[in-house]
Amino acid sequence: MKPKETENNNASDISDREIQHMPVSYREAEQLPPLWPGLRQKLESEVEPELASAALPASVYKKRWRWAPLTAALGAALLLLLVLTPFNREADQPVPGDEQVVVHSVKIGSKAAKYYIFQSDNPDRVIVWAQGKTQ
Amino acid sequence: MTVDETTAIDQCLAGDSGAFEPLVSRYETSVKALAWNITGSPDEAMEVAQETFLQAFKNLHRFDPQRDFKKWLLGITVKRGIDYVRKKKSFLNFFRLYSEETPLAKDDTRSIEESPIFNPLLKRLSEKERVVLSLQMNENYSAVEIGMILDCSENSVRVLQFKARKKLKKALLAAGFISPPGSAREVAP
Repeated sequence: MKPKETENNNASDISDREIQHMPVSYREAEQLPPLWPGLRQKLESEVEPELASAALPASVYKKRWRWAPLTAALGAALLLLLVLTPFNREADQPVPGDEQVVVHSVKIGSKAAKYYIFQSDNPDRVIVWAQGKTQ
Repeated sequence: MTVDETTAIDQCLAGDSGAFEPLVSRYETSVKALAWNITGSPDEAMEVAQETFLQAFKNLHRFDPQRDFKKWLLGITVKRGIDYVRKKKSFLNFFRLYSEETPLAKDDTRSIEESPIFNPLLKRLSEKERVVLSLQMNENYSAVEIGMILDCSENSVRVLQFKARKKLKKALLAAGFISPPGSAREVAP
């Protein structure tokens, strides 16, 4: 291939003929070994797996992360169950069929007395405080 | 771009790396020659050429089919080659510094000194000036085309051409290959 004469030959005062053999030419580059064998090996071992993992189809991503929403839903359900489980409430509720004490009136001697009923933390224990009425 | 090239690129994009072979075979000489002119060493030229094709394969999806494939490839070669030389320079400078020897000159690299084919006068040029000279002499590209590859303006290319020629003229004069202005010019065999 014959190179074009450049426009700035006059400025530098040197012709293409004088420098055209200076750069390494096609002829010399052709003596180098072919690139393809080494390149093919690199493409197969390095580039293809890299590109394959970078360009996974959407369905593969969906499958890969399928566990995430399921685990989140399960966790949320477990949390809700823990919050709503009435661990201590059964003790507070009167058990159907249990005997109950009902105070209608309190007398000290023959006189009606003032009384106070205290319900302790223990549902089986009720304290009745009676006080004689003073005139 | 030819139909063959378009087909090969499409096949590569579909995951068939074997389809890259015709593209490599077609352009490897151009890439190797340019890489050799940048690095000054055949071994390093091979390394740069291989890196160029690997990068091209990885980035085929970014290639604009309206563009010329060869110019796109040579653009990658320039970037990889200049990057390679600069890394090597800083590597050599680092070790020269720590072995308390004289640091390398700006336009000096060991690879250029080692290459028997590479013209020693070319080591006086910067990497970009060597690129311009290589593309002009080997590919017969105009300043506009070289500007597209180097990603710079036509005027910048002309400045690089001018500087390269001026430096070479000075070197040729100093070596006695050409006669000074005013006398009959002769090129040494």
